[in-house]
Amino acid sequence: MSMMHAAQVTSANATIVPPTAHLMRWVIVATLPGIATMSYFFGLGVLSNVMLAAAFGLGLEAAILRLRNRPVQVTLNDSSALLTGVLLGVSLPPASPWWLIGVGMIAAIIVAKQLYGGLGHNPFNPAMVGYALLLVSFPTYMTLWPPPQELLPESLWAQITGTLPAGQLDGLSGATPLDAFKHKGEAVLASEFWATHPLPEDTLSAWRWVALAWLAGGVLLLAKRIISWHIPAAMLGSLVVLATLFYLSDPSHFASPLFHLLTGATLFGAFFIATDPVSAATSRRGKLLYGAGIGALIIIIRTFGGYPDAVAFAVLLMNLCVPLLDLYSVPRPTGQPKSSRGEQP
Amino acid sequence: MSNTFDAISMLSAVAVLTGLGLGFGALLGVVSERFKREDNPLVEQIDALLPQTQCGQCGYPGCRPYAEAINQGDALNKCPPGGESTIHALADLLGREPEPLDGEAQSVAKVAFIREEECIGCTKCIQACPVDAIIGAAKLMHTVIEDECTGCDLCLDPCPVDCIDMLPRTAPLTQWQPVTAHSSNMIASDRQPAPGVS
Amino acid sequence: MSNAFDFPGGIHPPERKQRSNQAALINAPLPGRVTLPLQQHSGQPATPCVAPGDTVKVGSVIAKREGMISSNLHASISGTVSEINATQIIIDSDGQDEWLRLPSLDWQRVEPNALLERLNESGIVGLGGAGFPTHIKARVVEQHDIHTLLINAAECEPYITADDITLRHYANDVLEGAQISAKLCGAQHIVIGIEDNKPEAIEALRQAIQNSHPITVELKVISTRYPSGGEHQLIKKLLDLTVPSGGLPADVGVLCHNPGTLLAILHAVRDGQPLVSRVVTLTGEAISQPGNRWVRLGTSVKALLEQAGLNQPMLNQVIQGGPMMGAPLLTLDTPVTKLTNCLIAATIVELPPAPEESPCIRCGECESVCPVSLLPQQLHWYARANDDAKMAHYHLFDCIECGACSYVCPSHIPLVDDYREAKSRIRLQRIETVKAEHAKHRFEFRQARLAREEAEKQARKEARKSQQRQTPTSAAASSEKVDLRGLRIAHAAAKASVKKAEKTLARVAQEDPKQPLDDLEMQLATAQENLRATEVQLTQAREQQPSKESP
Repeated sequence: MSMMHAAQVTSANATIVPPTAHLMRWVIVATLPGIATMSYFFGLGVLSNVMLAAAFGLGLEAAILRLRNRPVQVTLNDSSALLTGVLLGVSLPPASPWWLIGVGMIAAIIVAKQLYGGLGHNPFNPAMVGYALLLVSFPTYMTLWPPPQELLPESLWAQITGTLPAGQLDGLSGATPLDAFKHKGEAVLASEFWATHPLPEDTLSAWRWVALAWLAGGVLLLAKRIISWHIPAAMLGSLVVLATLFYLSDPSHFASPLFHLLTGATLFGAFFIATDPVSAATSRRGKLLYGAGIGALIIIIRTFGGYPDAVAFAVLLMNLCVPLLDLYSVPRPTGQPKSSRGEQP
Repeated sequence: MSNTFDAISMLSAVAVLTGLGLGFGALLGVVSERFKREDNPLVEQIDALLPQTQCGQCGYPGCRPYAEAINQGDALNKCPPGGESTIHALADLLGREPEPLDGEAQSVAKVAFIREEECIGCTKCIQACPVDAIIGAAKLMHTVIEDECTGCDLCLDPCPVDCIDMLPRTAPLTQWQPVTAHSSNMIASDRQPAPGVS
Repeated sequence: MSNAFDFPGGIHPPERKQRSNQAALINAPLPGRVTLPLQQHSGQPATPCVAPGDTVKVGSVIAKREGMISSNLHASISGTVSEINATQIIIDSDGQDEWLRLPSLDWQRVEPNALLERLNESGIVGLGGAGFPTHIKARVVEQHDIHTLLINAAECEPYITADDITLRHYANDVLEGAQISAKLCGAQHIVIGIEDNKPEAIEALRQAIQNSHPITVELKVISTRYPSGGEHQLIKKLLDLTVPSGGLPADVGVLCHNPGTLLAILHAVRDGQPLVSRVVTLTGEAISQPGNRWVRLGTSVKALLEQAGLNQPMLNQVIQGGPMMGAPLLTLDTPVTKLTNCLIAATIVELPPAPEESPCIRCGECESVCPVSLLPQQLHWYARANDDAKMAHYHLFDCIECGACSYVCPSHIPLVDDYREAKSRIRLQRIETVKAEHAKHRFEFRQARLAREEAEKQARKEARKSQQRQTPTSAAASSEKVDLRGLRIAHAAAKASVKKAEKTLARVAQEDPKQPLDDLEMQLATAQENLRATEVQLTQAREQQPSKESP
């Protein structure tokens, strides 16, 4: 009974302890610089992606809550479905067909989240489940990004009709830098790759700006204490260390740490995906291990795996490890003997 | 020539397999010695889960015989004093499916009480009590030691004058048991109507 | 100042202490009737030693301690005992306020035993909240070496200012009480821990420690953070000692006392005045004259709040204790006891009801504020799933129920409620298990006794039979084939189990003399019964088959 009063003091001071919905909304706010930058470089297709995915998110969540006999309004208010939509929306190539977004959101909201019991019960990051499903099912649609400053009306029309814009299917111009580097071929040395410039310089710099915008959002989240530093720091740390090791061992074959950091979804993943508390480890030690694991997996998959970017797979693989991490990273409570850490029940 | 070769290869195969067998056998032996569990045998574990009222409602003379019967494959659901929680604990231990309780579950803990002015001192209840919780002597009044009584009802039937009552046991204030129960948020509870949904 | 050591976690809830620490400490009006519960302390309730109609003075013993951990109870007003029931004694005042004091003791001269006896007689218990009888606590030296007496003046809960005000007014007396307590427990150091949000009390203590003797008192001011007033947390922070899990401060050589308790000790020793009144903080937005009062035990909460200007329509609830760990009063028709340190008459704006709980998102806020480094959210999952083994794995019983996790939870989950529920459930299960085990042993003993009686009866019958027959033929013996070998094995096994039971009993009795040994003794008796039964059977079988017995 009495602890209700603690909560009562709490709610009288909402600035100290914001409710869950508050946290979710702050994360959405922090994605705004990233979305704005992406829209600037890749066209309004990014924005329409986000809006469409968010609408799908709310609609699907409402529908399944009704089926599950749960209060709809209260649950929608926590904004978690909205956030999942935003996160999946920005991960997709601009102006993706509407059905692609729909399929991704069904996988995210219905399969990954609600079938496991809803908010707080999902073992996997919903947005990344949706993304991974789309990536393995529709690789053509998922790996081709329009070059920066693509024309608007055409792509939006393609999104509504659900077809792929014809101009995007040809050549390297539609690939992301990671994709291009991946498919440069074994024979091509990294130095030759950079020298021949298969990518327009503005594509590369566009991705850098986008990465910095995500970083800005992440700093905002850290400053507002919405996320803790443990996961992003461990993830970026292990990523840079591993990338540096590879790069130093053979600079002619492996990409530089800076390239890994500033292209693809690295920074986005570090601050917005890996930090999803529901599917991450909980103790501080667990969080550090979890983040470090993601960073290492990203480099390994990018270097040796079949996919150009690896944030989604790395996060999902580490989601799998969370129960184990949680079990073995129980902190030692004050006063417990040293040996009791990680003791089996 | 080929025969010799065959014999050698056959012998070597036999030798290798025998060696492997011995090796693994030794390994298993060492491991089973090294990591020996000092656990109770299964019957002990089953017995520990039973409520030890020794009431005989399961059809066996006491909890221990029932534990042995369960170990032989008897049903788990014959213990009314233990109720659903005992059935679930047994099912967990033995890896069997829990079955619904056979009979009425006891809602509250009971204790036997002898209306002493009516007792004729026949000692029949004393003989029936499985835990020696009734004291008294022939032709003298009997009484129940409340702390030792398990509430098994076995003294009721033998009493020729029906002077024994089963009363609810009074729990001390320090044994506070909360009454709140949280509704689970799991999928299994989806069929229950949620608050706020008509 | 002394922040070299620290405990993990902690929170900074709004303090709201100004409302009650501005006014001076005054005496509450003498109540016309007091209701004194028989249990105002931990342990056994006291037993009444007066009868309705008896005349009592302030300080007359009205109920005596019962058992080891218990405490005396005294009349807090003079008048007539009007009612005694199973839980409380009611006294009507005669308005005279006549006192019955014990003789004054000079604590520096008298024997420690005399001091202990005085504390026992005076019914002093820990006034910080737990209510542990002080004379029992003082006897801790019998088993532990105490090096430091810690005065816990942190008072980290919001709203409460009783210790603050006590120290402002009675700093010298509190320190003298501390010297008495230090003499009793043999401590060589006295340390005061106080949070830096009480500058006046700190100043008063600075003055007072200069003329406190014989032991020099060290004042340590710590930064304000909840729950630094937790015994284990304060010991960690001030002395960098970690009390082991499930242990007492005495395990690391520390004794903790609350300033109010030390003042009560001094009053009992110097003035011969038993514990009949205490300082209570009256606060909250729903009363117009907040502040601290000397209140006679047994005064009605309702009367007390009304005298402080209770605004009934504004009142939402009254909380006894602090907002973090206290409990709401279901009725105002309840007395002030030895444990009532604060009464908060709160409006609904001040302490609004908790918002609807939403699902845990595993954000980890609770973990970062836990002062014991537990994982509150894991405990939450397992508490809701009734998974007791997992809760033990996550050290549920190390939780101090401070409420920091509930306070920071963005999903507004009443975490500590869950833990309390789980703890009480597990405690109950343990009691049940012990009971079942006990019943089992009694049953086994009975079975063994019946078997022995049966065997003896059989033996007597056989003996009669053989006497009648006069000449036992070998044919008769062989017709009743007895499994001699089996009986011998059973006999040996029974002997071994008697030895084993004897050994266990001796070992446990040596290791922990205080533990009840009934169960083990019964197991031994069971083994002995079994042995006697097999002995009887064996001798009987041997008599029947003398020829077949091998040498």
